[in-house]
Amino acid sequence: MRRFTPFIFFLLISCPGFAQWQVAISAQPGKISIIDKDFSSMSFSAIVPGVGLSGKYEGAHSTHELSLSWLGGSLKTGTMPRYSLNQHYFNADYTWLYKLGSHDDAWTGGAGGALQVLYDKRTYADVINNNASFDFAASLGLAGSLSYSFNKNNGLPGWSLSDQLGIPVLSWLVQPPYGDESSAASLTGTDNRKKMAGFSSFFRLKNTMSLDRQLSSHGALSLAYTWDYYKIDDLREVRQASHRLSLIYRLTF
Amino acid sequence: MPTLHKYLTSITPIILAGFILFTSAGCEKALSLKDPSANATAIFDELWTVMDQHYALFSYKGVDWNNSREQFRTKVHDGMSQTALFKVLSDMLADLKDGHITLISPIDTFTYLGFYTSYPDNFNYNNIIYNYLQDAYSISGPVIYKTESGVGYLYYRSFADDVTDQQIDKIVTDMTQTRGLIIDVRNNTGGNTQNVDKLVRRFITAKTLMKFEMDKKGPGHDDFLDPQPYYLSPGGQHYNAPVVILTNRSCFSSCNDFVLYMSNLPQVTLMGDQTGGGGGIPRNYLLSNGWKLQYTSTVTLSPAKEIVENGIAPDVSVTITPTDEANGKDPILEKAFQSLQ
Repeated sequence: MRRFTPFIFFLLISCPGFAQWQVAISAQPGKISIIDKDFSSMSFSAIVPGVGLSGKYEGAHSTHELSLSWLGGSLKTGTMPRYSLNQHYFNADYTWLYKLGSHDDAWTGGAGGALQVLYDKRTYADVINNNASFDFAASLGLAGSLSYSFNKNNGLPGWSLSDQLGIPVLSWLVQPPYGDESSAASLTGTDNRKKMAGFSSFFRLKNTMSLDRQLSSHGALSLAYTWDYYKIDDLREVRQASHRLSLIYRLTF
Repeated sequence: MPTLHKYLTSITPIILAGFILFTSAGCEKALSLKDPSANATAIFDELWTVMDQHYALFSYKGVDWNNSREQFRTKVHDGMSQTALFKVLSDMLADLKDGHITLISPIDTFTYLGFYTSYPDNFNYNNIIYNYLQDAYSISGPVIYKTESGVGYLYYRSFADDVTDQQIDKIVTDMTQTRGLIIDVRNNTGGNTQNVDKLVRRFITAKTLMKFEMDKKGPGHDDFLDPQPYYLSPGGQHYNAPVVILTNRSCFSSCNDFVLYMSNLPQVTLMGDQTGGGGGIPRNYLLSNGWKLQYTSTVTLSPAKEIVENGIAPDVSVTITPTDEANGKDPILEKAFQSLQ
């Protein structure tokens, strides 16, 4: 509790008056495609299940959101379906946005920063010894959002459309050692390759577009589409894209 | 006009949403997530590059890989058949003379077998079973064994066949009263190193250095991390009498590891022919046409930091002549038995 006190204090002094808490839970099935060039230059992909959980604090001038998600399953190549790759893709994002525009405006926005963490763990069922790998990236970057509220003058009261984009600028990147990706490949391995990475080594774009419908004063339902790309251009080159369609229930209190 | 303004205001976010969706599809293309070309020249280049960046034994083998590319690239063209492409790639890989290099395709499989085909067999399984074990032996998991005149004998055909700690304990328990043990690993071409570890633990009394392993740290032919030590600690039922290990050229990969580990122990004697080698750890890569390439990715060193890629020489060299074999005799086994009397 003592550790969280400064954070809670910061929230309270930064957001006098208006304040809202939201929690949300979502089902997030999606399609993942990945090329891991240490294993193959073929792309592995599949439609897989996913889930998400988030908490959001909205003050008069800023919002703070923490979201967690997982997407995972068995991926296959398009041309050689006998080969498979089991993947678990975890995300944790903390986003702080300074509000732009008034609460009563149709168009509102936000600009700020984000701390984004991704952990992608892969095991390859059909090979020996280099049968596991992972990518870990903890990034500080920029974030922005844009929202449009379809109020009663536009004929769709209670509906809104929003978009949020996050772009990492500086990242702490961890991958297994160059020549050793056995089933023991672990995030805590002592020989892992670790580096601070800019755009040239680690590039990521994550965008979420959401159509929201206020159901009541406390509840809202959203349909969201998230696309999340990252590319690692290092000794081990990895490219991954995921597209998620989420059904989200938000509770405001 | 107010109506038009209202209309434009309403559709603007929809247009923006469409733009974002369109951009997302474009970004995926920009990140090159499409499968690369699978034509013959692309496959050749891909295989050559993977080997160039990841194969660990170019310097040890003394092969000029750039020269190999020059020599074989001219034989490849995009209209060639899969069979012809397979032959070119196999011929290029064969120059490395490495039993861990394999190319698997739907039409054929290439593996270098010269590590044992160029040498005498020095083993006849039927002679062992019928003339020495006389078709009466015990079985525990993948191991057959027997006790004769106070000497134990066991044969582990392949480390690819898994053995449990309980199965090994049973064998050791049954061998408790013997004054020596013969472990025959001839024609064992390797497999799961965990099976090797389980067996070796029975013969050590303290944490013991077994080998060093050098992993690559970059794409250069000599980019290696410092050698990493590999230790084993005792475990399971212990056997403390003298041991003779029978080897031949077909003892390869994990079998080579087993012989390397046991050769460190003072109570062990190696007898027969040199092992086939294959010390490094093999890894796989899937080529863009779905063919699977296997290559050696590390360099294995003895505790004295000597490369064991070409095998381990026996302490006592014994050979089975064709006449011996025709007469159903196994001088290697007989010599081992005599040494433990």
